[in-house]
Amino acid sequence: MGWEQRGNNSYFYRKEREGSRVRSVYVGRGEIAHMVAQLQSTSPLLEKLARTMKSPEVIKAEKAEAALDQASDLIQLITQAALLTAGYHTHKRQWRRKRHDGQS
Amino acid sequence: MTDKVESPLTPAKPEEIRVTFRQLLEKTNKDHPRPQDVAALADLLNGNQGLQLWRDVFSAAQYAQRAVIENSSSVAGVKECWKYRLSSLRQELGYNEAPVLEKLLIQDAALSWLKLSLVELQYSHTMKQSITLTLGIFWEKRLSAAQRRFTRACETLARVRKLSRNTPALQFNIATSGGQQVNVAK
Repeated sequence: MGWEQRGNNSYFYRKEREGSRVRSVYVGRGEIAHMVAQLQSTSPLLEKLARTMKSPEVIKAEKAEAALDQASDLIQLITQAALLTAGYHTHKRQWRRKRHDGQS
Repeated sequence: MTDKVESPLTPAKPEEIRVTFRQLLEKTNKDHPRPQDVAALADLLNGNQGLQLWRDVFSAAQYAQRAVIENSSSVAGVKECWKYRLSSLRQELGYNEAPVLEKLLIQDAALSWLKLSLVELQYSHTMKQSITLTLGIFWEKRLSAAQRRFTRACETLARVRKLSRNTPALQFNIATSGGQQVNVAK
């Protein structure tokens, strides 16, 4: 479950999967965290129900979003490639140009 | 508006090209990439093989535009208005005069803007009604994703524009083996 013990207190963490990694996102502690935990335990069931009852409109919207995401990702990839070939590289998520002989 | 690509002179192997492309990207995105890898990536972007790559990206963008407009829940007249608005937005962003890479980014930014507007409309319409928690979370997620997509597209366009001021190499000429430039986009 999402409850984790730190010292004398329990804190509630939400688990999120990112590919093969699982990330813990802090939610809170005390009454609010209990409420969130209770809601979360029922939400997978509700989501499962909602998935089986998806309206055609939602299916259409998801299809469009998938196409848009795919195109967007491809464009980002090709931009990365263009920047790399122009002599840039990423440093701490920032694009920087390699210095040549003391010039930037 | 349609983007047209002339047929490449070499037979197309899109999957192979995409795999090579991704491998080269991984190899070159570091502080000191091997010059051979950078040269290979540049060849892939500029050469005949690269034509298939650019063609893929342009057709993916066109397909996305069609999917976004056609799958929205609106009457045909409104959809036509959106097509017109998208086209005029691209012109406002300097689509006609932009180099190939910027054209793609402009297309992406304009389409992400349209998608964000559509999701915002649906979101506000949905939130007026009494809805379940799950549905509320679903719409929040969709809105956040649309906002993130739009921000990313604008940031990338701005970054490329800023960097290309000092880096003419960012303006690609996609050439056939005969040496003639190919018009990738109208």
